[in-house]
Order: sequence, then C-alpha cells, then structure tokens
Amino acid sequence: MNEPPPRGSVDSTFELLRRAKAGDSAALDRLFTRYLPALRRWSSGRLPRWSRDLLDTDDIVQETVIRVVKRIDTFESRREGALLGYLRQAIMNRIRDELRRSHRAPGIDELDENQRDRGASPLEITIGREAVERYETALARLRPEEREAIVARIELDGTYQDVAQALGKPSPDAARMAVSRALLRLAEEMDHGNA
Amino acid sequence: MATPESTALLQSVADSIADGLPVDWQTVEAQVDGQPLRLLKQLRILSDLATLHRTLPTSSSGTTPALAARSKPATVIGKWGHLELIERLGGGASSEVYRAWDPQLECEVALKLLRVDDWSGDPWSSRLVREGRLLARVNHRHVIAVHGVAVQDGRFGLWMQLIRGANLYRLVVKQGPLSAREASVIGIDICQALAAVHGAGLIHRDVKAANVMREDGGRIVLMDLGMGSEREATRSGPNDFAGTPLYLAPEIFQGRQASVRTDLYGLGVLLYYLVTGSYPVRAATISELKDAHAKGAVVRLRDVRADLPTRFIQVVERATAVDPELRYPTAGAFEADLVRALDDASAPTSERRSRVSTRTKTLIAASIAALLVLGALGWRAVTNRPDAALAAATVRSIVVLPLENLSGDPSQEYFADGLTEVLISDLAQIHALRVISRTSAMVYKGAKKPLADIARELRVDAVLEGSVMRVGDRVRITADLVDASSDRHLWVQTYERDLKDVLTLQSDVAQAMAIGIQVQLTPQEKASFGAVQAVNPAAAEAYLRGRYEWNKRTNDSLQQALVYFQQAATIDPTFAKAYAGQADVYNMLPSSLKVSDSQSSPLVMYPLAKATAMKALGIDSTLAEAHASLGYARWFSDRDSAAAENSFQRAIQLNPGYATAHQWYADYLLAVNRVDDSLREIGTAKTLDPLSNPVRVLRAAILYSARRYDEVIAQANEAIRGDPINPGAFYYRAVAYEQKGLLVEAENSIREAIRLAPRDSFYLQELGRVAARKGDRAEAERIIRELAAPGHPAGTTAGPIGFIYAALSNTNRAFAFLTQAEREHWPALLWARTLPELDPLRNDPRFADLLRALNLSR
Repeated sequence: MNEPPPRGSVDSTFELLRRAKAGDSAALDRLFTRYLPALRRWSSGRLPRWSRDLLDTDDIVQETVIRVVKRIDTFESRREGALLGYLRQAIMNRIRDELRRSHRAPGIDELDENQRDRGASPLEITIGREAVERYETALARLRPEEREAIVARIELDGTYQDVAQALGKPSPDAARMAVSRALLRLAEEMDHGNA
Repeated sequence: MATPESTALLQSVADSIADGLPVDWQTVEAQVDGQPLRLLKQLRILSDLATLHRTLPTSSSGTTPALAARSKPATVIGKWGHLELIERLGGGASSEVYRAWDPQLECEVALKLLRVDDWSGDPWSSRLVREGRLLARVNHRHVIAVHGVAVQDGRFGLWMQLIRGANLYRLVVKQGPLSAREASVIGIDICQALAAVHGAGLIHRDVKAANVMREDGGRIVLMDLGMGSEREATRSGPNDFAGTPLYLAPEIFQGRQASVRTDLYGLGVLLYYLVTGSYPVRAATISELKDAHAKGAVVRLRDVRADLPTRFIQVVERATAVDPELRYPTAGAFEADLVRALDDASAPTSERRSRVSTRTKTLIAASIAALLVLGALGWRAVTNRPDAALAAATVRSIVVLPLENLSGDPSQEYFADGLTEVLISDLAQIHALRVISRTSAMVYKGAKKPLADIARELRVDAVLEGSVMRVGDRVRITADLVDASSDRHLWVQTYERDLKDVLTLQSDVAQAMAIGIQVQLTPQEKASFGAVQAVNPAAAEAYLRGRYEWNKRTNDSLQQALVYFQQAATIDPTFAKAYAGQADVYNMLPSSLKVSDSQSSPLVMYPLAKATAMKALGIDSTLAEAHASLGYARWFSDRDSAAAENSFQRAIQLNPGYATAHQWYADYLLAVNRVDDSLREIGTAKTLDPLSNPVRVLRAAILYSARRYDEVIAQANEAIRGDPINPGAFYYRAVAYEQKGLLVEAENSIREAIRLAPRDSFYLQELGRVAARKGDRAEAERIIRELAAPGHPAGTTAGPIGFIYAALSNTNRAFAFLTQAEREHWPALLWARTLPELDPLRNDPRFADLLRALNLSR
C-alpha cells in the first residue's frame, strides 16, 4: 500500500554517498531509489495544497537530495537515521524557502478567496498550525537518536526493521522500544512547550 | 502526579502509536488527570500526526525515469557554453537539437543550436532569439519551457526543457491513425496550450503534428515557436508565408494575416492528421496546394474514416472551414466542443467489451493529460446520450461493475473500488430500482465475461460499467449503462470534479442515471441526493481507504479500516460516513477477532459502535448505514429489541437496496424467533447480493434454526462452492449433519472448518459436541479442557464449553458456563431461543432465567 521505506545496509548507504559525491550517477540513482519515495510522501504532508499547484513536490525533494549529497563534506555520524534526519531537515528548509518565495510572487495573494484554507499543509490541517510548531520545536530538543527514531518510524513510516537499521539497533524489538520511548520524550517536550 | 498505573498507561499508549494501532482516547483519558493527562493529550496529537504520515499518498511519478534526467552523464560529446552536449537529437531546416546537461540547473535540457552559416549580422535579431523570447512569455504546462538564450563559441543557442517522448507526427507514422477519442484528448491539451500562447499576445503560426510532443507519461507539449510572432505583426506577403504549407489556412495563401483562427485551423488539420495520417487539402507542391485551396478541393473526413463519431467530424470540419468567420473564434471555444465530442468518441461496443483493451492502456496517459486540462474548466458532465429510450423504460434492475482504475497505478485500486461502493450505495437508495450489492458485483472485477452472461447470472436488466481516473485532487468518472439483452448503450456520461466533491459526484451520477433511464425518484430520494455534502479531500480519501480495508473483512484489515475512518473523522469532524464506518468496524470486531484482546471485547466494542453510529446520525440522520449499525449495536450492546428493530427498519426505509441492513435485520429476526420473517429478509438480501457468501451462510444459519436440515446442507454446499475457504459454511453443514445423526459427515465437515480457522472456539466446540454425540466422552472433555486452558487464544470460551456440556447432558455445568457466557456478552447466546444445540435445556427453569437475562423472554 505504502511505498517501501528506506532500506539498505549502513555501510552500503555511506559507500553510495561517497560514490555519489565523487560523481557516480549510478550511486546517486541508487540513493534516490532508497530514499526518495518515503521523502516524497513525507513532503506531501508538509506542502500546502495551493503550493502544490505551483511547486513540484518531486522536484523539490529530488533537487534537495542532489544538493545535499553533493555539498555534504563530511558526515560524522555513521547512522543511516542521521542521514535521513539531515535530508528531512534540508527538504523542510527548502520547502520553507519555496513557500516564502511563492508568497512573494506577484498574484499569489490574489489566488482566491479560500486561500486561508488552502494555505495549510495536510499536517497543519490534521493537528493545527500551533501544534505543528510545538512539535517541531520539541523534536529539535530531543536527543539525536530519539529524533531519528521519530523521523524513521512516525514520519517516514518505516518498518521496525528499517528503524533498527537506521538507528543501529540490534533488533526490530529494540527499535520499537526506542520509538516508544522517543514518543514519550517528545510528548513531554511538547507539554513543556505548551506550558 | 504520575503513578505506576499512569506511567504504564502512557507507555501502553505510546506503544500503540508506535505500532500504528488505534487508541480509545475517550477511555484512556478518563483514567488519568494532571500531568499524565496533559502528556496523553500530546500523545494524541502525535497519534494523529503518525496516522497522517501513514496515510499520505504515494508519489504518482515513477522514480527511475525521472532520475535518469537528473544525473550528470558519464560521457559528453562536446560543450556549448556551460552546457555539456550528450547526444544529437535531430536537426531542422536551420538548426540542430541536442540533449545536454546543464550543471547549473543540474538537469538535462534540450539545446537548439543555430548553425553558424545560418545567421549573419546581429544575432540577437535572429529567429532563435525571437523564439526564446516568445516562449519566455508563455508559462503553461502544455507549452515547452525555455531556460535561456545565449551566443557562445560563435554559435547561437536556445536551451529549454527536455521532453522525452515522441512527436505526434512520428506517433502516427509508427502506430497508425488514432481513435477519435485519443485525438480529442490530445486536441484538448493543445487548445489549452494555444489559449496560453494567444493569451500572451502571440500567434504560434506553425501548429502541426511534428511540433507537438507526447511526453513519456502522456503530457502533451506544444513546441517550436520559431515561426511565432506578435499578434499585431503577423501580416505576410502573398509569397511570404511562414509555417508548414499543409497546415496553413487558405487565407494565408491570399496574403491575409495570421491570426488566432489560422492557428486553430492548423489544429484542425492536426486532428485530421491524427485520425487519418493524411491532410484535408493535399498537394505535391505549394502552387498545387494554393490551387487546391482556391478550388475548395477538400477531402472530407467522413470519406476517409467512415467510423468516426459525427460530433468529432463536426469539430474538425468547423476548425478547418474555409471561411475564417465560420471557425472557432478562440481556443477555449474549440476545446469546449472537443470536450463534448470526447464522449461521443467513446470506444465502440466491440472495443468496450474487452474491459482492459490495449487501446485503453495507451489512452491512460493521454487521458490523464486531458483530465488536467479539464481541471481548469471546473467539473462538468461532459456529455449525455439519452438514446435507446425504449430499452431504458424496461430497466428496473442493474449491477454496477467495479469501476476500472485508469490511473495506471495499482495502489489506487482502493479508490476505484471505494467509488464503486459509494455509487452502488447511492443507487440502492432508489426504491424503483434493484441494485446488486457490492459483494456480488466485485466478483466480476477484472473478469472478461460478456455483459449478457453477467446480467443473466445476477438476473438484472442492465449493466453499468465505467472507469475512474484520478490525478492529484481531480477525479473523472465515466459511466456507461448497457442493456443486457440488446447490448445497446442506454446512458453514458462522464463527470469530473475535485476530490472534495467525489461523494457528491457519485450521488449526481446515480441521480442522472435514474433520470436517464426514466426511473421515477421520490421527493425523499431527490432530497437525499441533493443533501450529499462535499468533504475534505483527505477525509474522502481516508474514508475510501477505510472502506477498501473494511471490505476485506480480515482482522488486520478491520483494524486498518478503523484507523482510516478515524483519520477521516479527525480531518473532517462533520463527515458522517467516517463515523458510520467506525461503527461498522466496532460491530464486526467482536465476531472477527477470536483472540483474547480486551480492546476487542464485545463489552467494549458494541458501546463504541453505538456511540459512533449515533455520532454519524447526529450529523446526518438519513444515513442508512449508520442506522443499520446502530440497530446492530443496540441489539448486541443493549439487547434492546424494540430499538434495534426500529433502527433496522429505518435503515431499510432509507436505503431499500442496502443488502447489509436486510442481512443484519434477518439475523436479528432470527434471534427473536421470527424465523419466517427472518427468511424473508435474508431472501431480499440474497436477491440484492446473490453472490455474497455471508448472506449464503446466514441463510444456512436461519434454515438450521428452522430445523430444515437438508436445506441447510444444500445452502452450505452452495456457499462452499462460492468460497471454498469459508469456515462458516462448513460449520453449518456440520451442525446440520449432527442434527441428522450423520456424525461422520459432521466430524469431517467441522474438521475442515477448524483447519480453516484453528483459533475459533465456536468450531472447536462443535467437534466436542460431535464427540459427545458419538459417545466419546473422553474426547469431548479433552476439548473442554483445551478450551478452558488459561490463555486460550480464543479468549471468551465459556459459551462453547456450555454447548459441549449440553451435548454431554451435563445440565448443571451447561447452565453454569452459559450464565458466565451471558455475563461476558458472548454474541452467539443471543440466538438462544432458536438454537437446536440448546434444545436439551429448554424445559429446565434455568433456561427461562437465561432468556430473561438475555432480554429474550418474550
């Protein structure tokens, strides 16, 4: 039903990254195959509907991944989850830039009378804009491994096997525990943000 | 203040969110307060967030083909400025075209280079620059996008979007002439492109098949504005006409200026070419062509393609009229007529019979493009062909075959199936029409049976078939009603809407079809169709996904359906069907989940079903599904027979074609010992849903309670033939054999049921009963011990054990366990008044007590 989440061994991911940086287009394509479907789905939840008429979600994701892969000088962490988190943040930044740019473009303010509704992303429609901001702030305050667990399982809908691989956990059960714990930590941070 | 209990509760909720399982928030939030409650509220937000991410649509675009154009090439054949040339794609009269890599844009581009000897003087006045500048003024998905123009290395270049695909000229040469429908779809896209060109104050002046690309994936792209010009500067001399001669309007040869109408003439010629591979005015030289125009020597389209729909021919002939004033004044007017022609151009009967024709597949991409174009026009019923009125008057029963998913994406099956179900449900509201239910209709999904055979098997007058195509938030549905006996079209219509209006759309299709076949709608039915509300697109999508999962009726799919229905209600809290869907799931979970799971206990599920059904009815009191669900829950949860019967009758009154309401009502009537009424209701359900196995099995159950054992065996055998892995059918065959004293046959049949559903305690108890009837007390007691073992996967087992004790004539124990089963709300006990298994207990005073406890004493 859903597209398969990221797969592949940690070593091969970082080897692919190295080769892609060196200009190996086949390695880049394999990285794409591994990450793009899940990141595309994820980004479709972050783009307001109106903007999807103007911006090509696939292009945003694809170009951002290319840019990240090429510009990344060193990647200290050897965890695949860290790379996923990095890509997610880069796409998030790119989406924000694009939205800012689109808002500046002439005519956008006159799109239609329903623009207020159309301006919300699916995520904002689901939990509310204020909750999204609280969530992002709280997510940023988590420890890297907790954040990666949330991104890999909750946002990118990876299987526990994938999450285990992304976090370097020995088993899916260990990954499940990590996700569950991260959710509680995240709830606590969100509650602090709510205070 | 956190306590060990609240900490455990929070952990359990976090686990459920991580696992993607639904959480009963009302219940858990009632158990804590203070900080744990605040954390729970944050977890609830996270649960909604997780659900959203699980249900986000997959990207419609493929990965690999797009990626190929995003990667820097391994080898280059040259450079021009900053562009790296990869391969030469072709050359025109004055230029060459290359596939090139743009390292700044990090993508492949098409680079058009003017040959050195083709320009002199000021390069910035050249045609190529003009083309670039004109293109830069037009921003439209069906017009090629330009990236830049420059002079580099002594060569002049224009680089633009790289379109991978074939131009229409090559397409026709390679594949032969297209159908009118395919040509119309392409023509609609080109009209859109030309509207954008004309809207930018330009005239293309070279509209022709070779200048239109069909991109891999179906997008139509108008290329080459090299001949283009400003609208106010388009006068040509008598011998100075720009463009491709065969496409030029006759007035151009007379020295008149190019105009919007000359561009549209070119498009008319292009459409003529697409369906014939030739041109309306033919000549070997330009002077011959001028003569032919002067003499009006036009080859009529009808004379070349006798099979084309009249409306399509009329559109092409109007576009290519000699007198410009008789042509379309604008691209928009042209497009509007093409849209109307599109349905006339529907595939002929022979083509349509093959439900997945190769042509259909080639149409998909083009149709998607058409859908996007139509999107700009707002929704519309594209056409209506009310012919065959005589046959229409005889249609009083139909089947809606599963709508074909034309998205080209198998993961969108849920969408087509969901819309099929909604359409069936809407049509079933019409009292004057018998509409075959979803279960029976779905049997024909993907089948290539002749429509007449399908109609005969289901005993209907007509068959409605159609397709659904979704691109982003636009949905297009085509419905075609065919008379089964004559194979004639009775009614054809194409609709298009935003996703948010998709449920309204189905209602409109149902209403229009009823009118089309002259079925009288009651004022109530008309009001009901008019009352369907638009819903949030994401909510509609989640709902359709929910229905798709619900219809699978497995434990996992029911859980998944619940998640989707909850998601739909979260997104749009006023979406009544989302709550009705939840009620349906809550009603089914206790009998579906045989595992020990407090979350799926009848004591939890039926009240939830009742609450969500009432919530749905609070929003829309005319929702038959919600009334039926409420009746079911009222019966199982409250054992309130009067209220349950009211709900079932209201559901049937609102939607007489809703087979599930008849089925559940029949089940209820059996429980209250109105066996004849029950058989009548199940008969109605069977007429509406002739191939439904749940209906067949329930009919076997009713016959069993009526002690008509031979008929039970026959009905069960029919169900087994229909679905050889249905344990319920084997069960009823076994109990009928048991009652007839055919214990070997009974044992064989029940063992088959147990093989199919090993964890089901109800089937295991029958094995115990057969053992008891055979005198094998030890085996019966072994089975009792197995059922009574702590942690038995079947969970609630008191009822099954009580049944075995009844067969062992151990009345005391039988009553002890049945009393416990009553307290646990074991669903099967509600049929205590009619079940033959309990006959040995009926004369005992404790049986009357049991019936009283079950509220069945009347």
